[in-house]
Amino acid sequence: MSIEQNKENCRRFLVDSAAGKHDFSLLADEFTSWTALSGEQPRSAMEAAPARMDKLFKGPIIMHVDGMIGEGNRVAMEAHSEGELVDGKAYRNTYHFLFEFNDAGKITRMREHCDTQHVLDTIIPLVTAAAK
Amino acid sequence: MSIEDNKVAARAFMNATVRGEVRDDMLAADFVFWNAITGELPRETILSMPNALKEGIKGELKITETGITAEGNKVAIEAVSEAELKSGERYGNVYHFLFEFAPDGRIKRMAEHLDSSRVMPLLKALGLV
Repeated sequence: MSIEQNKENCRRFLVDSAAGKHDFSLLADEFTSWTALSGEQPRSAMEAAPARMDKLFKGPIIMHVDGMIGEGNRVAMEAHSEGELVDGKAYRNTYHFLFEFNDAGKITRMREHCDTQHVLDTIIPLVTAAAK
Repeated sequence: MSIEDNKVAARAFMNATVRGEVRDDMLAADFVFWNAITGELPRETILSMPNALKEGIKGELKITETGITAEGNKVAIEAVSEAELKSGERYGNVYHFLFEFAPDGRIKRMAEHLDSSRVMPLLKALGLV
């Protein structure tokens, strides 16, 4: 797969997933995702994410891709998001993703570097309240 | 400048920031720094940052590259850091930097994506909060 094809698959996976159109066929079976808050998670956690997000957000999250570079089997993407949480608060995050691909063009690894403090300030209180 | 030249310059700048060895000629005249906590900062702030770090840290912040991606005039570096604060507390973070280069090889933008939830102990050590 070419670097440009890998970039297009990153854009499809992220932007379309945020809008509610998930295409998990872009992921390798051994796919893992990572954030500083969650640590490393298996593919099954990514597949369960949409149902979790539906309970936290009023509507779709809009992802804006601000820039992408690719080299070898890697793509780095800067992005920002906007959405509205169920409590009416605005969710606005900034991201620098790192994607890795296998030879078949499937995503094997996604590292989501984002503003974790914003997650703690906005989403985590909702998760905690729901668990009570 | 080539992609490999830009990688060398990005690594050199990343290491220079923590060692207090940032040189004025590394940065373009219109250089801007960004992270999610501070927003955009001008070049003067970055040139004085290493001195601020020394105020809060015992020895130096050790930064280790864990991955690099480059294309065109951009270089993305994943890295982890560790340090001991003057309070004795351990501090470490995880980063995905993005460097953008001007045609003359100087850095014109550095975006520091890091785990913002871990920064508070460092800000306290630096007397910033």
